[in-house]
Amino acid sequence: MRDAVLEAKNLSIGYLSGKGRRKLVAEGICLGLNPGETTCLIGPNGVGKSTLLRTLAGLQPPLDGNITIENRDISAFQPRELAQSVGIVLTEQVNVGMLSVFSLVELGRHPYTAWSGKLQPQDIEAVHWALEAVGALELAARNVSELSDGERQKVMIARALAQEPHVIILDEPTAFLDLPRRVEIMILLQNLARETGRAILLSTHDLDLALRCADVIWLFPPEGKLESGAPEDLVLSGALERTFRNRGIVFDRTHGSFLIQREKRGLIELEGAGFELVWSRRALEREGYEVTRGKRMDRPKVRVVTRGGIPSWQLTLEGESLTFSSIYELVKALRKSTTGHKPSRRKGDKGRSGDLDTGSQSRG
Amino acid sequence: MIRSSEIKIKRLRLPLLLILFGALVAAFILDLSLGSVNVPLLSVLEMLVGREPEKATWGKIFFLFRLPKAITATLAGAALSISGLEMQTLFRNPLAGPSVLGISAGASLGVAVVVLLAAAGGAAGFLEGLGLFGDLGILLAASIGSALVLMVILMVSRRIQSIMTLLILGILFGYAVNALVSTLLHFSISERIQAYISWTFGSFGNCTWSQLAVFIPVVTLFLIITQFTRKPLNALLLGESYARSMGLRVKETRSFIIINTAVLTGTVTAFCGPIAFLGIAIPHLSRSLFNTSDHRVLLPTTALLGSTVALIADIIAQLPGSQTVLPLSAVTALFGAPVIAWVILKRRNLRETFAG
Repeated sequence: MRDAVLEAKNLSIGYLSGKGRRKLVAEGICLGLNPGETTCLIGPNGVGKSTLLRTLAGLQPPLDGNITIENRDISAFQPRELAQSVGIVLTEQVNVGMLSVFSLVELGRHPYTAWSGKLQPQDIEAVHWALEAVGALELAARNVSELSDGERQKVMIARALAQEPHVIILDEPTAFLDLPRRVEIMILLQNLARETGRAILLSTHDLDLALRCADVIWLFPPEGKLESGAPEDLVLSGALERTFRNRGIVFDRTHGSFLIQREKRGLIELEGAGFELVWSRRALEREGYEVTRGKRMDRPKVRVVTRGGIPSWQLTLEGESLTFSSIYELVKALRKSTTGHKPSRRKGDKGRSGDLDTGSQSRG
Repeated sequence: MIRSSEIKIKRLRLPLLLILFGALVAAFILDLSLGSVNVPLLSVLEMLVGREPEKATWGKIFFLFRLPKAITATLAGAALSISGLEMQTLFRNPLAGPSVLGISAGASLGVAVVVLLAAAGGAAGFLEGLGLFGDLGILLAASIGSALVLMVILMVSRRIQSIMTLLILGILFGYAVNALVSTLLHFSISERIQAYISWTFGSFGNCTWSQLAVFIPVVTLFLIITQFTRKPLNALLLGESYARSMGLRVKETRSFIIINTAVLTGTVTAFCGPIAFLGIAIPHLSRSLFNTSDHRVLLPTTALLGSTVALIADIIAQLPGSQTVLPLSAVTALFGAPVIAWVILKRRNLRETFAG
């Protein structure tokens, strides 16, 4: 990692509470951020992702070890120098009041302007460039409070960009956004890193997106060392699987996505064709069945029949045969047939998998 | 494209700024002219350029009472409004005002101690002597009171990370100080309570030229210093984390703003008594009129608006043509609150600025 713009060596992060007591969050962290690369920091809730980001951004001091930017220790930086090296975007949505988008992005010029905050031509140029880079130039005259969440996040990224830092650190920049907006922001960040040669580090809960878009992933496990590598390397080494084990989901290496771990309900036979087959399979798996083919009389069996473009589902269960016009009804009947499973545990499972943003677990 | 839109906004602001400045000048001249004795506007203008007035009494009224009063109102209005603006931005809270740190409560305590205790302690002629020694004594007491509170707040603010904690502590501190005042009041005789209460009504008319020799330089100096906080205040709009990431030295800035506000508020409270409402309302009015939270616009316009409203409040308090004078604090709140409430409701800026 010779060419890393930001490096951390033997870093211990955490908080100093009163009277010199230390609350250690993690220690022995060694990392590097390379220019032109997008790095995603992922890990379960509460492992200290935000603390790590805040420490790297110089917002709080490390408990031990050091952080260097371009081979200079950041504890030696003046606040203004640090601001010219690292820009941030935080999770919390700020209400900046009645500011135009231009004025908000202009705040990023803070470390460059004189006491009065008066913009020089090169400052206006930088604001213009930053807005253009995130594709928000047409928003310039709008009031920040009128923006949608996605637009606002873009503008906040532009503000960090206007600071012209070597490194941009974003704490869950996609947390409030819907899926298309999340993808948009991720791709925007990736392009920014590539085109402007900056190092971009973001934390996210969006594992799927991180695996698809990141150049490097920093995996922050609850215990043990932080690991870094290309997403694919971490999959192959099994590190990803280890980090998220026992949390209600399993990482499926074959499909490259996370599966929700469910209580097993036994085997079910499925017959049919086309999209109806694919989605019926998913519904059955969602219910905890292992789907097979075959002709055994002692197993429940579902047949998807499509007549005149309209599908129906035939369920054969303990000799009885029923027909349904939707998957919802089919699943409901199956559930009724196997009452008596433990509802409390299933609830717990759901809660945990919720941590990992179930919304994005599609196999796409 | 952006440049043109920015310029358009700025072009809109210039006439408004000129109108405000005109209003300030008009209010200043009217304040000189109107009162229990009305001095004709023409004479006022003549005297302002240094000519002798038609009647000698007009000259006396003008130089001994009206001019000091108008200058005090102009500076006090600006000082309180700017203090309020700084506190609202620093604490990111729409209800913050100059009194939020307990500074004016400290001044009140100082005055209460002098008026209620020192007088009771044997200085028999104290109340009668309120003329010269009394005024200066009150001034000194209020200054010491607010300075003490300022020191406590500064000490606390150095140790505290969260600005919200500081806000709550400041408010609690204010309550505690006010409780001490109540206790003092409880054990005092009615004339002294009366003297204390009349101080709390507030007035711009208590400053003589010799007191203005202190008041004018102090307030002017700190009003000028305030203009240097426009950039840090803008950075603080995004909260302290962002401000720090943009290279702001947050703790130093915090102390700087607190000292600045405390001196302005403390001085005004010492000379004029605790004047309610201006400090909270004027920044909101200014945001509404200029449609921005940018302190490069807000700092000068808030000062301008504050001065104008203070002068108008003073004119109303004098009840022109009558011998009666209304309590200034009552006027600022009673007449000002509905007007400003209307402006804010119409523009709905409060939600946009501080919601969430």
